[in-house]
Amino acid sequence: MNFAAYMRSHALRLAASLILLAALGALLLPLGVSTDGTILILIIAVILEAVPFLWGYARSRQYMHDLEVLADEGPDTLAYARSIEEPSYPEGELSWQAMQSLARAAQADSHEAEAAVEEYRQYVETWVHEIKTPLAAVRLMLANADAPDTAAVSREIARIDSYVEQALYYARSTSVEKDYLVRSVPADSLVKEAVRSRARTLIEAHMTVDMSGLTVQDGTSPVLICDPKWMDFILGQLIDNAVKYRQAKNPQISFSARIEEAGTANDHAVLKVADNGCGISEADLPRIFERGFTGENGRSHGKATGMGLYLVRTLCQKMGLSVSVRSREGKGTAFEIVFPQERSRFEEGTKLTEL
Amino acid sequence: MAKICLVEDDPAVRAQLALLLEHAGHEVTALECFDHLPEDILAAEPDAVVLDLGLPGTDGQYVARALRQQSQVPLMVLTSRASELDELMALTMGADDFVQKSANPQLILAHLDALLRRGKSQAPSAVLSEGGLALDTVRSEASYAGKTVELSRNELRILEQLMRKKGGICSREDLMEALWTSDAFVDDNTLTVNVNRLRQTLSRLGLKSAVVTFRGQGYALRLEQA
Repeated sequence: MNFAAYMRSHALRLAASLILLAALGALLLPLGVSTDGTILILIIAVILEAVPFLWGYARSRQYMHDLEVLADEGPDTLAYARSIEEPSYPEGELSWQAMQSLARAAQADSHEAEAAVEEYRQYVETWVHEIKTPLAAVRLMLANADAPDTAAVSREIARIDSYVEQALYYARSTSVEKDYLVRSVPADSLVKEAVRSRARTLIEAHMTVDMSGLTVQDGTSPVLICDPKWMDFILGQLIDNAVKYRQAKNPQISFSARIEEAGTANDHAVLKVADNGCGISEADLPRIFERGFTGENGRSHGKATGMGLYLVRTLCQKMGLSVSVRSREGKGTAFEIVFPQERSRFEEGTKLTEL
Repeated sequence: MAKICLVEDDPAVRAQLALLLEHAGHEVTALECFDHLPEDILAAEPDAVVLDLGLPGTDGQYVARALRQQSQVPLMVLTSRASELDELMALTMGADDFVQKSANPQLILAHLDALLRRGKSQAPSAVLSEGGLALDTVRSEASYAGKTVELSRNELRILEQLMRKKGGICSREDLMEALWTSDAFVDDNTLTVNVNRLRQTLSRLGLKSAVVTFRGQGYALRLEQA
């Protein structure tokens, strides 16, 4: 609150002071007080009126400033509110105490909500863990039973599996903790694992899988720093999309990896997943990572949940990776994931030594 | 034939896993009581151990470490715990392999074969036999009427699938999936080439037309016609 605002707030008192001074000036002389005496009395009166007025402004200035900052709703309002110093005048003290009790209540609420989210996440983890056992039993029964046409049942089991995984990783994406474990893994072994576990889907869609771009000239594959399990899920989402939005003739998915700016501080690996499917329209492209966004393709192909790419981006961000997309309608789509190579990223995940 | 000790608490998964391993030509000891681990595992004198992590009254990680202190037997952890941390823990405790319980059964078998192969030079072999034809999946050899031929990796996977079907038709998708699980990401044409190669190899055993094509359905192994 600036001084002008303070004056406006105390306008009545200011007016009363001015009337008092005017009255003294007008009445003292006719009452026989000398000119000098009148001036002296007026000076004393001005001082007595002004000092408490200015003092009142001075003692509330800091607190008022703090309140203004609070009113602007900065980034961490709650923490700011709790850091404000208690003012030393009764009205200020009261409002400060009220504010602190609000802040405490809000903090308790948010802790409670966070704990509830965390509890729910743990429940989903356990649930997913439990449901996998009967699912595994069914899958083994199908493999053991010599019955014909188990392919259709296997397909449905695979769909259940992918929804279960999605629930698990959605729950993980909501966690505030870093519950991943970073390792360096060669790009080709990561991709092979992901392709192997989705072999049936890719084979039935007659997709050609090209992994030639995963090895560089000397026969090695660029090393990616990430949680391999999380990455498997991310690759799975991209593979599922490539299958879902494939073109009828010669559908293909290709994987490639490269190292960029080696030896510099910006040293990073790039994993590229490209398909020759139906592509994404220019209008939809900027929004495909949004939660629940299905777009034109999702509507025309049906069964899009709008969760897959949202989770891809969220999980990448949690691991410190960035993901980008390029696409042309009718030509295909290419996703690129950038893996910073600096060693410090190992520190961010959970450490085994802490167990 | 390899002796596998199976430690899994869920009765349905245990029974089905035992069946799967037996179909693949292994001898299975499935433990049903987990109070005396790892002694009961060692008492079974297995060539390899398949161990679940979540066991009643004890934890697989603990069992893995205790087992490793007394024996170098190949150990596969088969679990529904799916985090990187669980895997690293299991491998640190002495497991040789970590496979998801929800994985494709073919993949579980492929991992077990690889584990047995890695174990010793005198790896116990897993033998499938059908109508006089015997297939050693660990040594990758087929024998018939006293003759033995070596099979390429792809030929082995294809023949193994056909023999499992016991004369029934095996779809091209099934064959391709089996090949993909052993890292051979073949397409339709390559599969045809591989099947023809297998036919040539089998003809060296005197089995000239054992692999029969069923158009639009797949292939089957017909030994009685050979």
